[in-house]
Amino acid sequence: MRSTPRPERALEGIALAALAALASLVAACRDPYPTPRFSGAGSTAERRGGVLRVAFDTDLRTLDPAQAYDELSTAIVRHLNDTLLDYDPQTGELVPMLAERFELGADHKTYTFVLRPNLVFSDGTPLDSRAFVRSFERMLDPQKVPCPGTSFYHLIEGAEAFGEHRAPHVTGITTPDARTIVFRLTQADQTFLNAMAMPFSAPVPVDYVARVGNDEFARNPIGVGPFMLERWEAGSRVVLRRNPRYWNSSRPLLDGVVYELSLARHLQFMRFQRADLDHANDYALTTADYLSLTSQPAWRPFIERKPDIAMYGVAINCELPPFDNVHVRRALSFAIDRDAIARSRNYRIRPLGGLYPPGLPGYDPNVPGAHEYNPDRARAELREAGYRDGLPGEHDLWLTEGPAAAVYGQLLQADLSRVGIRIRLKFASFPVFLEMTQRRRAVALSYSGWNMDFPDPSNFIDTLFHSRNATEEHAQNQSFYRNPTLDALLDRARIEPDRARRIAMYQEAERIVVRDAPWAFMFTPQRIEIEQPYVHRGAYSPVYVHDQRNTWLDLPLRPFVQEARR
Amino acid sequence: MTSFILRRVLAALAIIWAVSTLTFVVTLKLGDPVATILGPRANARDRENVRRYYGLDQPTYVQYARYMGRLVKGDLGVSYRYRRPVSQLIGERFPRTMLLAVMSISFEVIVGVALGALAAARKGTRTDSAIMAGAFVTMSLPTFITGKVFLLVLAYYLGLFPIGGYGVTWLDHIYHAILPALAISLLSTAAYARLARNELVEILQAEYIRTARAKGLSEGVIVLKHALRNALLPIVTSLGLSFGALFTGAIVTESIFAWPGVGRLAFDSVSGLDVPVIVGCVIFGSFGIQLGNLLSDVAYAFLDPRIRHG
Repeated sequence: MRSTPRPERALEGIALAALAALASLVAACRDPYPTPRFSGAGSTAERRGGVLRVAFDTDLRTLDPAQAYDELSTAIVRHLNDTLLDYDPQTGELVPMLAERFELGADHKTYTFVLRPNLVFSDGTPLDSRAFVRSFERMLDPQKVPCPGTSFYHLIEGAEAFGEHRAPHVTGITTPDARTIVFRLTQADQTFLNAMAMPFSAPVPVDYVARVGNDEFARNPIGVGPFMLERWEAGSRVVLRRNPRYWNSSRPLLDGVVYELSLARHLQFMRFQRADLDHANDYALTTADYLSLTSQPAWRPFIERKPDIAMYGVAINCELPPFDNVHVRRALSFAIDRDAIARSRNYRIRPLGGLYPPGLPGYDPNVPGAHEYNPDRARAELREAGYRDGLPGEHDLWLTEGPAAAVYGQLLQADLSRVGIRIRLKFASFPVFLEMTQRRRAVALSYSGWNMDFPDPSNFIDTLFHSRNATEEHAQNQSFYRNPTLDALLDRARIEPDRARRIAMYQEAERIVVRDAPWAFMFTPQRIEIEQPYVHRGAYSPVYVHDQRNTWLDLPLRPFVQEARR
Repeated sequence: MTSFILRRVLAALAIIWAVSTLTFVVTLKLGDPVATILGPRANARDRENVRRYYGLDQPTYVQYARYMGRLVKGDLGVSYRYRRPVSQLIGERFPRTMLLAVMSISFEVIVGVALGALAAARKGTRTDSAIMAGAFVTMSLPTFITGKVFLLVLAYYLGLFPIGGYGVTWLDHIYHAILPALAISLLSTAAYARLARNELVEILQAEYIRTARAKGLSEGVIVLKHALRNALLPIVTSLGLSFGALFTGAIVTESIFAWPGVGRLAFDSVSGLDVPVIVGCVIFGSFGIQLGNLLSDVAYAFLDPRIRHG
């Protein structure tokens, strides 16, 4: 017969364990890092040296610039590679990078780039115009590499025929000499230069790729960028070090960068506070972490807020009743209390009543008819649509899985029910969400968003609202909005060479979209960056926000004192 | 004995086949993998190219036949997400998972059995009560709670351990593995302690133990040499199962501690719909469980002749 401990003794043990747990919790209540641990040496001038430590909560997929499209891969690829053009950190304008200069032909369809002299990859292989074009053709060849960005280059003459293997080379790319590359487009396109600043177009040493294979190249890349790969420990860490052969001898300022991979947000924040990481951003902060940090005066000077050029809202399927009625769509948009949603996120987002977020050329803070919270008007719009007592039935709102989307979904549910629109939240994994919301006549409402590929209004409005993107499957025009007037305006704007006139056309296009409400625009995020006191980010790219080219560390470190505030 | 092992191996293979088929079918319903491969902004032509590249344009039965054909040859396919062979991905993460498994199993067996033996030897005393109550409380705590408490208190507040991650050198890896290994092993340690105690209490009342006592042997020798040996039989069985389960990595623990093992790979592959990796991890896991079961069956058969003759 088995014996068991007497009940009172068991209770005694439980009480002791509970007391011990309570004591641990009490001890844990004092935050050990109410201030930063270290300050810099006090230098105000840029200094070279040091290794920056940053972290991401995702794993790295690839280091091949032709394949990198997710945030982390792009962030690292941008440090290993340069492109012909880049964005000026101060003005956001396109400026030469690998190209020494560039010019647009009189036909507005021919672009000529002249490479800097003596460019070499980090292994010493020279980069001339022919090497560039071979690399560019590799990116456009689907049998060589599955590049997700070839559509940005489809207007290059002969690019499609080459991609379909009907031609051995892209006829629209020529190299008159070792430093000159000429691109001819089939029609004028003012966004072509933006595409030439995207990492897909970064040159890679094709002979090396052919020798080692695509898979190995994606693990051990060679580029022409400011850093080179030192090691990649799968799922754990990537270490970059300065490229001694980099064309710009004054950059980078850091000796290296360490990227911790797959480090969950709560760990990132703990490590940052303990000074095991040098930089954190809003992705590393839970709401509790954010509130804790902002409540500590010593940390506040090191928190920086910048607008993130992105838009979030509800995509409304204009093909599915009752949302094919513009009044219903407007009612939905006027029912959303954007301020309350911003408040629920501690103002880490800003209400947005139009399509273009602040920071994007064409942004108009006073766009006529901007979507705003007005439940009376929402009810009036519903009445005008013939629904005096609200919409009949329940309508599914699709969302991707995740805590933030769940919060927005619940707030939307509450707001819409107040005007008589009842919605049911339908959560799906990202692939399923994409598959369903990008399919015609499948999903009526979806909570979605758009982050810019490049700072041009066409990247938002063309992609999301041009009817050519309202395809049967994989439609980027998720609202399946079709408007021939808008299409014609966008087609004209795309080729308009005069910048001011072009922006005015895009603003006119925005007004059409705001009026017809194929989306209920909700908010634009604020980008929150937190750095240790000794980290100086310098100016960084408005597009590639993880850019560390100008970052420098004020070494040696010393214990933090309050006066060290910036 | 040979036929016994052969029977078990055949059964294990059948189970692995069934599990891999079931996983393949389930993943077909999870969404379009092309979205995982190319992201949301690729055009139709790129999507078609990728579909062809991975054979996703073929009918399901063709995809299945190709998949099983490769599997028989030991090829688990290529990850959509990383575009590398799945066996490579699992292979480079497996040693990390094994490190965690070995450390946690060592901890749970050594500490669990020691505590159980102590409780049995002091049956009915405060020590017995405290150990059993502690085991009871510990078994009620899920890993995602204990793991985070360990991180918060032992790593963040007290600074005794690193805050998650894997480290750089081998010693560093071991140092980084201590907290996750503790978190994994806590529950099993308590279970082993209870199991060992109950077995020992029963054995300590047996006739041959009474004889040993009558011969004047010390209590320590009686517990360690005569009783514990027999009490280990059910523990060996549980050990095999624990080992198998840890083969795939402890998904929750690896995620909490950012430990880059097979569990974390499985977690990421599910959220990213990386079908070949999902199926690869499931097959690898079921292989581990079958191996663990087989080892414990064989060990049991060796330890207890009634099993192999039965």
